[in-house]
Amino acid sequence: MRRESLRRFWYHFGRNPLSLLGLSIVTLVVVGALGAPWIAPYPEHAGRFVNFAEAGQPPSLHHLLGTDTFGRDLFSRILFGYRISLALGVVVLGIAVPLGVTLGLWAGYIGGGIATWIMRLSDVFVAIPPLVLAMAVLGVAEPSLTNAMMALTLMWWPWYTRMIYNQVRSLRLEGYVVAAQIIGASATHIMFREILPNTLPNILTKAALDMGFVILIGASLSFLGLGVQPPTPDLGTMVAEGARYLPDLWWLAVFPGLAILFVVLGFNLLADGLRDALGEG
Amino acid sequence: MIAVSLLEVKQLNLSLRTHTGLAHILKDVSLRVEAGERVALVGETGCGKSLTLKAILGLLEGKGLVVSGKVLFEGEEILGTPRILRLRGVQIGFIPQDPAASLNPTFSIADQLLAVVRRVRRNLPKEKAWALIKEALVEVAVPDPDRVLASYPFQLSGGLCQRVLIATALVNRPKLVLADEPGTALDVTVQAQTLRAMRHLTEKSGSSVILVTHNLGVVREFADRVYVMYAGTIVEHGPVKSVFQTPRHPYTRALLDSVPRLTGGGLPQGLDGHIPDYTSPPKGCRFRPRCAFARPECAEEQPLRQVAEGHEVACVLYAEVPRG
Amino acid sequence: MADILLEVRDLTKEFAVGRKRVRALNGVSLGLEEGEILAVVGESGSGKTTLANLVLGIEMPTYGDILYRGTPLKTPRPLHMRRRLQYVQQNPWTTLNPRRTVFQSVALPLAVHKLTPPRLWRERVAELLHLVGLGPEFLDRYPHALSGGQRQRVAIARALAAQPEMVILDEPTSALDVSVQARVLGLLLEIQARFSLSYLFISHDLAVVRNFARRILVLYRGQVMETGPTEVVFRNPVHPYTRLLLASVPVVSEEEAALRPSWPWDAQDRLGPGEGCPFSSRCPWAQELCWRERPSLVPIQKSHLVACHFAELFVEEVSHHG
Repeated sequence: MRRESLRRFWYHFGRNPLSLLGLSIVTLVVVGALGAPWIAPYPEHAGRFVNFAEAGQPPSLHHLLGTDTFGRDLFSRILFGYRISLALGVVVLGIAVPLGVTLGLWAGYIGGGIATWIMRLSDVFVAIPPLVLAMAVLGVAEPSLTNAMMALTLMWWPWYTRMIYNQVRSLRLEGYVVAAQIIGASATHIMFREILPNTLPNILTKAALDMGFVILIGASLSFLGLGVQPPTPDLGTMVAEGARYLPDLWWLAVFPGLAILFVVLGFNLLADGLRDALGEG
Repeated sequence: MIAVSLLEVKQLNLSLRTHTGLAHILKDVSLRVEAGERVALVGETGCGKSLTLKAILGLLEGKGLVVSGKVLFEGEEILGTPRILRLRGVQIGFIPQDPAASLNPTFSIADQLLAVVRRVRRNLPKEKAWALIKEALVEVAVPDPDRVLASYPFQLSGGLCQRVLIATALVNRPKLVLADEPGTALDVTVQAQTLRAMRHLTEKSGSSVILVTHNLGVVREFADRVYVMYAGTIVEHGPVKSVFQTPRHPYTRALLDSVPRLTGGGLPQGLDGHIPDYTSPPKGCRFRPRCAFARPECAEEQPLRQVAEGHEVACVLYAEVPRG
Repeated sequence: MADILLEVRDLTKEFAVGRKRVRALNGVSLGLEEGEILAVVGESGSGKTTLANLVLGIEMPTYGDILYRGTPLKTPRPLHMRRRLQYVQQNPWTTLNPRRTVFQSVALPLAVHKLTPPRLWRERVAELLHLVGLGPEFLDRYPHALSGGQRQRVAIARALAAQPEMVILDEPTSALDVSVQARVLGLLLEIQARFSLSYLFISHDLAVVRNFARRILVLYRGQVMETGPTEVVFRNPVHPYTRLLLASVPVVSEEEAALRPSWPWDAQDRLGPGEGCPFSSRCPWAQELCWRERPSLVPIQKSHLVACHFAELFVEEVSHHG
């Protein structure tokens, strides 16, 4: 019964304080990002707002994390920055995961010449560090959020293909897969209804972990000026700009940096918790 | 002075915290093994027989375990004491269920046997130690001991691995050997040979054996006495002959009746229902919900009552029956 | 005499192990009549699983024929054959998909073979569950909430959903407790009689076979050692391997113990066989001839066949004793 598995999942998940911490962080970030226009004390500071009278102020009750060189509230900008980070993660994984998983299922269950070719290609992609690859792509294409998303998607699917491929190779010998074959079920049914559901815990765990990584690499690209362009409030861009004013206006680089750390840590802890709890299920 | 039994388990209780609550698994399990005796602990999946064995061996681990009771080896407490660590492999041998998984794949058979021998006789010269382990393999009818000694576990068949494990458990001539479903993973012909080897060897060394099994046939072929477990309790125990010829407890009877006979006569009936949920087991006799003879009194605790020489049953049906 | 449903002729399967070729099945022939239960008995490495896989079409035979109602079967099997020939596996813990409900698992053959309109699936599955002794409350349960016996019942219901003519039962109760085993075997017999199914019953448990199957076929290292009506073979086991198997069964009563043939347990195994009888390395009576030449399967009596050079000796011995 679904409810019973859910209860077991919560029992194991809830017993680990770190998993709960991860979940809380992720919830906090998601709520903060989605609700930014209402939660942020100065939502208008997200864009091309300028108020030199309040520029470069250190953290205070008025501006929790201080203001930047244009007088914009840093806390508000970080909340809006999370919107970009999460959107990047959701779009990249939203395309890369289904694509990678489908290719992995196909290569693992049906196989054949094209499948071999796909696996070779994924080998190549996996061998190159993601950041380097993305930089190469963005070196050719124009730096923008869309292009950053495309570059990251391009290099993320092979990881899922490989993971699913390996799992399918062992799952296809399971009794229930053999049973479905003997009954005469179609390959589509066996791949998507029999095998795929049993790989979901792994996919979910990896996706949670990758959410953190995609955000981190996206921020790195922005930091290098290859991603989101100002004035859109991106955490990586903010760190890059703030770094110019170190150490005097330290909060400009430190808080966006901590914000990145915070969300990446949150997804990592969540993924660990998912892995343990789903493994027990 | 009363003679001390080799092993005595007294009122062993074991509970485990799970996500559905506290599971009361073992309830007042008591058993006794005398020197040179072969005792079987028989029951179906989930009846707690392996847990009992682990408790004796001090192999219980994990969070959420609540254990109470006594395990006395030659009169001294070993439950939850470091004493068991010194006894294991020396005075108490263990034959695990899965032969392939129980040998270390990175060491040769000779290395593994020698390590066990050296636990007792640290300074034994190499030639003598070799002779000893070779002899140990010959005793369990290993056809080509030199080749087997030089082999690694993955090079041997399941049957040979099982025999190596028996040799390992017995090489130090322990006073007690615990065997967890030996040969279950093996073919019947190999299992028969395995049991013969175990019987022969323990007879020769005078070791006592506790054999945990679900196979009643194995019990009859191997053991002197038997304890029948149901849902974490001992429902009946006694000499094998007595229990097999006149089983008293309704569960023992149903279990024996479930075994298909080599003589034919049609399929047996089997037994309806399943073991109770340990988080809320029935009060009194735990077999009550499945029992054809259940009556209101069964909700009370049923102590073990003697029905014949050394044969005791925990069932209300025998409450008024005179002894004998 | 009933019609032959399945006929296997000289079936051989070789596997490549490194550079060597190993014969998992070596010239096995058998016939399964309509409405009959034939037990294939053997230990690990006997080739009984390979035989099942070949009949099911999971593997291709190296040579030999499999005929169904007189027509050779194609591999892969056409869809209508997949419906007629069903399978119940040994392991109750892997036979059902842990992520699919009982209803989803049992309804699969209905969907694949379009046997019932989709709106009637639930009704039909409930009916099938009732047949195997499970109530409708099981429809939406997941396998992890089921005991081993219940899982096997669901697997049987799934096989029945296809409305098969023949079912291969691959040790369907060997992983179950003895009290549960009896119930499941009883159920299988009931269903067999009700739908006049044919069973190819693969097992290593001779006591079960004695009470379940009408005929028995003993396999050893891919070859048939002995075959005949169950009663005859148990009363008069001729092949030394059959005798070893029977002698090895742990039994619960004196009457059964008396039935077991004696066996010289202290005899040592010898070198592996060459071209000869596959059992010669373990056979205490093996002679020069046994090492050299593979014995063929010859009738001892009508429908009781044995592959042993010295079969006559053992028949005589048995008749002397009783």
